[in-house]
Parts: sequence; structure tokens; C-alpha cells
Amino acid sequence: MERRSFLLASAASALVATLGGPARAQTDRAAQERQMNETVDTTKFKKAGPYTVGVSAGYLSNSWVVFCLQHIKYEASRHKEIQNVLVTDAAFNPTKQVADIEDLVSKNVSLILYWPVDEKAIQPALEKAVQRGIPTINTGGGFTYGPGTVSNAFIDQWLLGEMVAKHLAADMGGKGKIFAMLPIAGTTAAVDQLAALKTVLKDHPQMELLTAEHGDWNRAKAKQITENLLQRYPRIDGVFSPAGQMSIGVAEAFEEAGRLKQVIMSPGDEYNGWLKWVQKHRQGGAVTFPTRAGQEALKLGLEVLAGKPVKRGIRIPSEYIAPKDVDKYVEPNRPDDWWASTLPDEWKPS
Amino acid sequence: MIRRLPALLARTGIYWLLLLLLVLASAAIPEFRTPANLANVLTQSAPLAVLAVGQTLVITAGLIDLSVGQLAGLVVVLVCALADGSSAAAVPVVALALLLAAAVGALNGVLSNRLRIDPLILTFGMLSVLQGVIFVWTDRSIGRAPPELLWLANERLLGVPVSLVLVAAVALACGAILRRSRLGLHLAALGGSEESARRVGVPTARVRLAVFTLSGLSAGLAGILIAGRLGTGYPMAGAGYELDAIVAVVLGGTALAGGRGSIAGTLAAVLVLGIVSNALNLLQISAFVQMVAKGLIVIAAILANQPRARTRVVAA
Repeated sequence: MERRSFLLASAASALVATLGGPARAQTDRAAQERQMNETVDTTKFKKAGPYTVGVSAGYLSNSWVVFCLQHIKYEASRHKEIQNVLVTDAAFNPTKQVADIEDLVSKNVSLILYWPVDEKAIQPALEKAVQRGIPTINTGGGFTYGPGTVSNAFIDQWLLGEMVAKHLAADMGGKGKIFAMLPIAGTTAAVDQLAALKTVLKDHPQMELLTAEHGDWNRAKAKQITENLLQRYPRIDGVFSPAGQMSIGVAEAFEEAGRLKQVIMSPGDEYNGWLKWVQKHRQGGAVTFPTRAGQEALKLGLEVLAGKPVKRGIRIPSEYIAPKDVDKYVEPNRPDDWWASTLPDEWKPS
Repeated sequence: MIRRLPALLARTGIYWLLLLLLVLASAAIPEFRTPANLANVLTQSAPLAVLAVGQTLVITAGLIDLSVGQLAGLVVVLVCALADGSSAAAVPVVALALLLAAAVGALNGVLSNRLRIDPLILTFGMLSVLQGVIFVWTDRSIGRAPPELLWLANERLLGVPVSLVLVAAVALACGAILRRSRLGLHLAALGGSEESARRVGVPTARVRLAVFTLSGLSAGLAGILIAGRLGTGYPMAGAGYELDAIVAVVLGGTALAGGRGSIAGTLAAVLVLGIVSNALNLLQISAFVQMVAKGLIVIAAILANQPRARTRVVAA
């Protein structure tokens, strides 16, 4: 009995000892810059066509990735040497994404483009693909550095966050109380955007960050959180919300509380619903999260298959769209859940 | 003989389905029949196989354990966080994780006996508690699995997945419990009718405690394999596994109402699900269609299972 109690107590104390949690590291910018600029020798991946391109999607139930995938297919259609594009969808399950990558290797694809459910969880599977001579390209999202990722066509969440924060600070005249609406906790997007905001706020001591919340890229959740914050804080002067679909939920909550005129919204992204809001209210603007990351990833992959040296990471630059310029990008007859993109009309999702 | 044919087909249906799938997939998809891909299917199916074998015992006893997925997930996080890639830590951390998993299973058993709560509600509550514990601990992937677990979960010896050894050991042990031990008889009796079992002297409380403990242990072993598959402590690693395990058990011919269970049938069902997923992937069919296919298989299996569940109450 005593022995059994001891074992259970040991197990419990070991668990409690670790419950303090790991350090919440944020991206080391200088190290990432060095890693990004590394030149990758791709000679071992060089192969002649025809090519089969594998796409391992961590999820497809999101309008941004649907557009990103269309960009991949569009770019593939422009290359005769690409015979086929195989797409697997892990539906937010990393164990399935590991199996998907193994299945693509079984199918002997020439190249794997991927966006992860969890970048660490699929590294062993990606490493096996690379060992089998199949190059892997991280598409969109954050920069990944490891033996399982040959190169990245990525959108720099830190720079995007910095641009959004700087425009918000300028629009607010460098003073006031704000809150941040961020994506899913723990994602590169959430971690880097918040880090960038805090860095920008150091230059604006009269701006105060009341709280940082996670709306999980979900309009309804962002609205609900904002409704609660409006009860808690009698004064909110600005909102940092780089993701357009959450910005709409935030703005709706302010409008329904009769406090929309008191708040300055930061730029969102080129999500059509947000662009419609910007067009109507002529504030906020957008900092783009380009869906053409998919197209750039495939171009990068083709360079790898040609055996040309490539950088470890290429940044797909975000651009600022001022409220007065938004008319060129908004598509009033399209649904909210739509993205301003450079895709030809016939390649846009139906 | 002809009159017995439907019953025979129903009893062996899962094996015929497995054979049919193997033949069809091999004929239709050249990549499917390669030894490397077949080994892939086995490797991918191993965690679910271990989990489902444990769930077979639970369902045979007329119970259900919804906490196994999150328990496996807790083990994934625990092992990766504590070991953090260290070979030296592998054995003690795995031992601690299995102890914890068995303890959580035993806790389910104790609560079931003391509080007399429906196991569906009780273990759903435990699922939520475990999910909460994981997220209090971490909201992102932490730590690394020791290399030994990566080897166990992913590597092959002479073309055969190493994880198959663990699956075989668990299946043989659970098969022996179900078919050759007093506990197996008691499980079937409890699943057939708790009242009758009690009247003939079956210690129902002890049987429930034992079966939930075994279920916890099998969840722990599945968690070890998942940790090796992912290589990191992903907090949602176990999400959804409990339902997949129940699907495999029912598809394999174990009566959802209890009283009859088949470890071999469960393993065949796990392979059916693995082959369906692999073949649909190779055929480039979307994950959502895969969900529909899996759902249809489950409904068909339950329909096929239903009449026998009403009439037969024996240990298989």
C-alpha cells in the first residue's frame, strides 16, 4: 500500500513539477534572417520532368488556403513539365498529415509543398521525404528551419505585425488605449504579431496595450471577445487586428455597442469582407497576406527540381492598402469569405 | 448449411471486407501494393490498433471509455516534455507515463463503482478534464520524443514495422485475457447482463476496475506510439482517437451492447480503416469525402452488428 502511494505521489509530483510550462520563446529575428539567407545546394534533388507535385495541406477548410491552393494549380498549369498535382488534406489532424506525407512519398511525387497543422509534429515525416530525395517547401505561414524543410515561401508575420502596428500608431496619433486581437494561441502568427506590436509600442509610450486576446481567425469568436472587453473597459481607443475576418467581428461588436466612432481600427488584410467594411467606413485599410504564396512556393520548388541553388527562405512581401485605395481591391459582388488576389478569373474558386 | 450462411458471413464479414479491399486497392492502385506502402499502412494503423484493442475489452463488458484519446494525448505531451529527446530519460519517462495512464484508467473504474455514473458520462467528463490539464500545461507543441520512440513508431526491421511487435504483444495479451482467462468470462458476463453476472458471483466492481485500468494502460501505450509518430508533444495529439477506436471495435464485430468481443475482428477493422484512408489518399480523394466514407462504413457495420447483438450473449 505504501509503495503504491509512493508511486502515485511520484507520478503526481513529476506532473506538477512540469506544469509550470515551457518558456514562451519568440522568433529570434537576427537568427532567422541569417537562416533565411542561407544558400541551399539542391543538386541532390535535381530531376527531369514530368513532375508530380504533392501538396500536403494541414487543412483546406479556410478561404485563404483555398485561394493559395488555386495559385498552386494555376502556376502548375503554366508548366508543361508538371503532369499532376496531388492534394491531401489532414483536416487539422497532425497524425493524419504525417500519414499523408508518407502516402505522397509512396506515390513517389517529385516535390512536396505543405502547410502544417503543427510544424514540429510533421518534421520527422518531412525528413524522411527529404532523405528519399523529395524536396519539401513550406508554403505561406511562418519560416521553418530544419532538416525536413528544404526551403520556405513564407509571409513574415513579424513584419506584417510591425506594419499593422505602425499604421495603427500613426492613425491614433501615437496615444490611446488599445487591445490586440490575435490568431490561435501559440501559432507563429500570434507569437510574432504580438512581439512586433510590443516592439512598436516601445516607440509610443503614450499608447497602452490593455490586453491581447485570441480570436482564432474566427469572426464570431472575435466578436464575442470584443463584447466582453467592451463591458470591461469603458475606454478603448484602438484595436490591433491584422486578420480581416476577425476585424469584422470586432467592428460589429463596437458598432452594436454604439462605440464605433470612439475607436480606430488597425489595417486588416485583403479578406473581402474586411475590404467591404473599409470601403464603407474609409478607415483601417489593409496589410496584405498574399495568397500568391502558393504560386511562389511552386516556382521555388521548380528551381529546386532544376538543381539551382535557392535561398532557405523567400519572403512574400506584405503591402499596405490605404483606405482611399481599397476600391481597386474590393469585390462587392463576391462573398465576404473571399480574397483579393492576382488569380485570373477562370482560376478563382467557384 | 445454407441457413447458416448469413450468420457465417456476418461473423466473418470484416475479414471478407478486408480481403476485398486488399484485392481492389491492389488492382486499382499500383502504388498501393508496394511493400513500402503496405508497411506504411501498418505503421499508420499501429496507435489506433493498440487503443482499439483496449477498447474492445471495455465494450465487451458493456461499458465505454471516451477518455482514451485525450489520455493518449496527455501521455504524448508528458513523454515529450519530460524526455525532451533524451535517450537516457526514455525508459523512466515511458514507465511514468504508463503508470499515470493506468492510474487514470483505474480512477475511471473507481469513480464508476463508487458514483454509479453512466460510463459514457463519466468518461466524457474525464475526457474534458484531461483536455483541460493538457491545455493548462501547454497550448503548443513542447519537447521531443526520445529517439527510441521514433524508432519504435516509424522504423522497419526486414521491411516489417517495429511497432507491429507492440501491437502483436498487446493483441495477444488482450486476446488471452478475453478468451482464456476468468476475467474474460467475467467481462462477457458483465456485458451480457450485470444483474445476472452479479447473481452468479461475478465481482462486477473489480471487473470494472480491471477493465478501465487495462483501457488506460492501452491508451498509454498508444500515446507512446503517437509520441514517436509526431516526435513532439502536440497538445491535440489524441483528439478524436476515442471515436476511431469505438468505430474499429464495432466494425470488428464486438457488440456495442456488450457480451461479445473479438480482438482479431478489431485488428481487421483497424486495417480496413487504414487501407481505406491510404487508398483514398493515393486516389487523391479529399479528406472530407474520406470522412463520409468512414461514416458510411460505420453505419453499415452497426446495422450488420445489430441483430446479433440482440440475440447472442457469449464470449467469443
